[in-house]
Amino acid sequence: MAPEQPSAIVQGTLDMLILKTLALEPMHGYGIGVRLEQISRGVFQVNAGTLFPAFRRLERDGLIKAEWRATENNRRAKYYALTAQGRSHLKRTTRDWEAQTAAIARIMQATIGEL
Amino acid sequence: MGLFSRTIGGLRALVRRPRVEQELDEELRAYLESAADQKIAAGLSPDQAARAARVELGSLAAVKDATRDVGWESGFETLLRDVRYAWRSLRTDPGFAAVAVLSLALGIGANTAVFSVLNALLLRTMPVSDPASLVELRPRGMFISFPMYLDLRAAQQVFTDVTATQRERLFRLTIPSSGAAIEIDNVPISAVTTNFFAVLGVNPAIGRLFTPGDDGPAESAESNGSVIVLSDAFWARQFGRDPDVIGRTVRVGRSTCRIIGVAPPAFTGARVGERPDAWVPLAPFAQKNGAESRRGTFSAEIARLRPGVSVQQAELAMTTLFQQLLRSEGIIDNASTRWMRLTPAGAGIDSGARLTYSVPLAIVMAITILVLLIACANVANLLIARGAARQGELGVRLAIGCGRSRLIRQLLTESLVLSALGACAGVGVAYWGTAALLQLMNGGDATVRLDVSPDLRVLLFVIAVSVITGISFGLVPARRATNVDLVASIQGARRSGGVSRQRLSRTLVAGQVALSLLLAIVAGLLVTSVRNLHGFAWGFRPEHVAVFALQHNPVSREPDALANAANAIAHRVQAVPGVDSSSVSMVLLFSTADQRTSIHIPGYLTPPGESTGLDPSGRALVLVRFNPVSPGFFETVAMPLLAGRTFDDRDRRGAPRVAVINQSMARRYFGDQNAVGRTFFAQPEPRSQESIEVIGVVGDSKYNNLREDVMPMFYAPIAQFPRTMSGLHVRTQLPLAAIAPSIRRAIADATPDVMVLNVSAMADHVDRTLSAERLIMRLSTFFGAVALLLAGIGLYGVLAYQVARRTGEIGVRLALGATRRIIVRLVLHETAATVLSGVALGLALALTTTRWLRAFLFGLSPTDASTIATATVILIACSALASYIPARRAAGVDPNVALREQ
Repeated sequence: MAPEQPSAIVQGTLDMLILKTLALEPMHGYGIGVRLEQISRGVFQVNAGTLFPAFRRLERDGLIKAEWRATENNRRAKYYALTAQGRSHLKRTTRDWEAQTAAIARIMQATIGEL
Repeated sequence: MGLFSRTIGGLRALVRRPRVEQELDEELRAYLESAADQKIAAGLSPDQAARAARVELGSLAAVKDATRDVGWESGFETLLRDVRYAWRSLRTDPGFAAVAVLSLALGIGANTAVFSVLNALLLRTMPVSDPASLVELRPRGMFISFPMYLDLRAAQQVFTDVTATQRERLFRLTIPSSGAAIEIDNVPISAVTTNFFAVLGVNPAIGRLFTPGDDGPAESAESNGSVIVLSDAFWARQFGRDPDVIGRTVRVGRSTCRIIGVAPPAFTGARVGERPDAWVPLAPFAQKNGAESRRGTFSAEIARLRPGVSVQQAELAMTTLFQQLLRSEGIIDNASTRWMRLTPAGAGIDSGARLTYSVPLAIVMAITILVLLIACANVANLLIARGAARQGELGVRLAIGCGRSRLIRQLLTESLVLSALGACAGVGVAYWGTAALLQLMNGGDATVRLDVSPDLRVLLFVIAVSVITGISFGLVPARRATNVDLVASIQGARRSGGVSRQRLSRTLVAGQVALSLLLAIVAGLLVTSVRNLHGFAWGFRPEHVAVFALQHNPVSREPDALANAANAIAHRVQAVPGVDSSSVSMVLLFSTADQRTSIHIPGYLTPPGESTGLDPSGRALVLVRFNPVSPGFFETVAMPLLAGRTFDDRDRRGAPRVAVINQSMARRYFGDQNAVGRTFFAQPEPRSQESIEVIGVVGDSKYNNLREDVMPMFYAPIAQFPRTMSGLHVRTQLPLAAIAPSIRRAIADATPDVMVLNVSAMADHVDRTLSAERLIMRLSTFFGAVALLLAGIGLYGVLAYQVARRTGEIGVRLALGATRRIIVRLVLHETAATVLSGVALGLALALTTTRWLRAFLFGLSPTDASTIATATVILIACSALASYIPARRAAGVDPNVALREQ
């Protein structure tokens, strides 16, 4: 049932990135997309077709919760915020991610002399 | 946690679908607005900003689809949608739907019916506690008499207990009531040891079941009375489930029995094929000579293994015990060659029904599987044609972005809806088919009674069959149909994919032809063999003979009393108007009973291997068949008298002892000389050492079944060899229904001890011994015809489609001067290739598989050339018929019309 996601983001990391974005402050859908693009300096361009399924998935899993609020332009939008469960999930995945990237980096930089 | 919240979330989304959808819409709108706001801020005009935001977002529907697909509920919703869509699309084509559902219903229903019966016969577990630890004791090459059973039971260490049951017997049951007593004939009752229900672990519905105190000495039931446990069915039928029935008395034969309890509804006995109405304790109902003789054959024993004892250990222990017992009995000298086998008894033990019907039913199951395959091929072919007609629709859907796998899933859903509808209708077919099958197995007589009510296993079978069927006929056409050349299909060209589709259709039709041919050959073989069995001389003539199967429970077994009873019936029946001649006998012709006895023939040098022992005075004995009959027997069944005379009233009790022998006995023991006047000595009446004089020789005849070889046999006057009667043969010109009541009355007037079990015409009675052959014959004929019809429809469909597709080409050919005959030949030429390859495959199948039928064939080989040739000719004729109409339509094409359409 996993949808195909043509995405420039490394497979499986989108959820983590959304959680991280929301850890700073609650945001609405478009804002999250823009924020991801800004922070990554335009490397990640995330469209709605990728974001919305991710929101639905995270909400289903109880990691984020949503409420309707007014935006800065005084429009109604759905704001997402981390739940307590989401916060601990983010902590765990961040730890895993750091361990993995460090290991991958070591492997990628290995030279023959180190063996 | 995740699983739980996902399940809840999915359920909520299903229940509140409109709100969830609405929220998604709003959220997307907010997203677009935010995007537009930002673009306005960057300097675009509101219109430009809105358009740019839309372009960036892409297809709204796609985003929504992807979002919906996150939860499991979307798969479920898709399924529901597909089912609804399939239903609508089937309704637009009711002709197709009807043909498909009907052929599937027939295939699935037939399989379910046969499986229900096989399930009841072989698989259904008895409703007892821990059925897996029940085993049946089966001594090899020996029997267990009642005293031997008691010894084995006392000495064994490997079972918690051993119980014994006898075959059910038919009794006259009398229920005393305030008015006249109710008398019911032919009530099947099973005699069991008093530990029967305890060993099986069956608890009463009401009252109690047997306890050791219900036992008694042999034959005591008649004098002292006994107890009886009713089956639930009998309790419901006769007593309307009245709980006050406990403590009332009924009479079983002449024994007064107190009703002590009722068995639970699900328990119908321990012998598959029998369904006793009641159970009585074995010992008090056993005849003295049966229960006390160490050589009497007896019954079946069921034991429950002690926990921790394996079947092998128990088998070993029981074999040792059995051999010790046989040695101490001194019955046989090679006890060490006898052993005890233990077979699982959790699904009940065999009453003979399994032995008789397992193989025929397996063959019938194979036949119905062939029918289902043919039905599948047919529906697949219809689907292929339908897929071709839907090219446009499918092409458009693919073009607007529907995935091929999504389309295949939807087409498969359509197939599954079809097979589910087929299965629903098939359950109806199965309900009727199961009853019809049981009727065929019984030849109209309820001799094999099975509990065929559907259980979980049958339900699972139906579901599995319909799913497998749906996928197997749906998958390939679905893959074909979605393999569309988009451009061509949207432009309306109708020839895309035509060649490979045609090849597939033709392969399917060839397969149908092959399987139909196989069924036709099977049907032909069985029809010929049954005709062969009927066609040769039986040695008697069944026309105008009625047979009455009797149950004789005499008050006294004194020879004089037995002789008087036989005499009374013979005379009273003879006096009934319309009776040309009649005869009572110990053994009914073509019954399962077979009486043999040892005789000594003075002057016959017995070859060493043939003697079966020595009589008390040391003379060699040979084993022959015999049957005590009353005068008139040979005249009644029209057995030809070859020499001497038949019995008459001179051959009374006390008169010189006489016998009529058959030709085989005359030839074998008296050489070619005239046997009349010769003598022999028979054991039947031990008191008498008087010799028996041969007074006549009759022709050989079939005796118990049509396949057996004739055995030497003698007939004796029943007055001189008094026995209980089991048969009455009557020659009459009147129809059975007209004469049966007056004969029943005559029997009842003669003695209350004789009960009529059933009445039938001799020809039907003999046919009943061929029930397995007839079962296979009728079903293969019926299904062979159905298969032929389905194959014909398939062939017609393929050809008609092809002709329609090639109308233009045919028009051109006609315009260029081709004659109608050439066109017909063109069409038939292609059919011929399909049919002939099917025939070749069918013949190959037949040559390799019909040998499984050998046991049911008579007077022809499984590859009988003329039968195979006939079946092939019939098949080719049917194919020609099915292709004739499309071929004629092709020839009737008007070149003008055809070319204008191009």
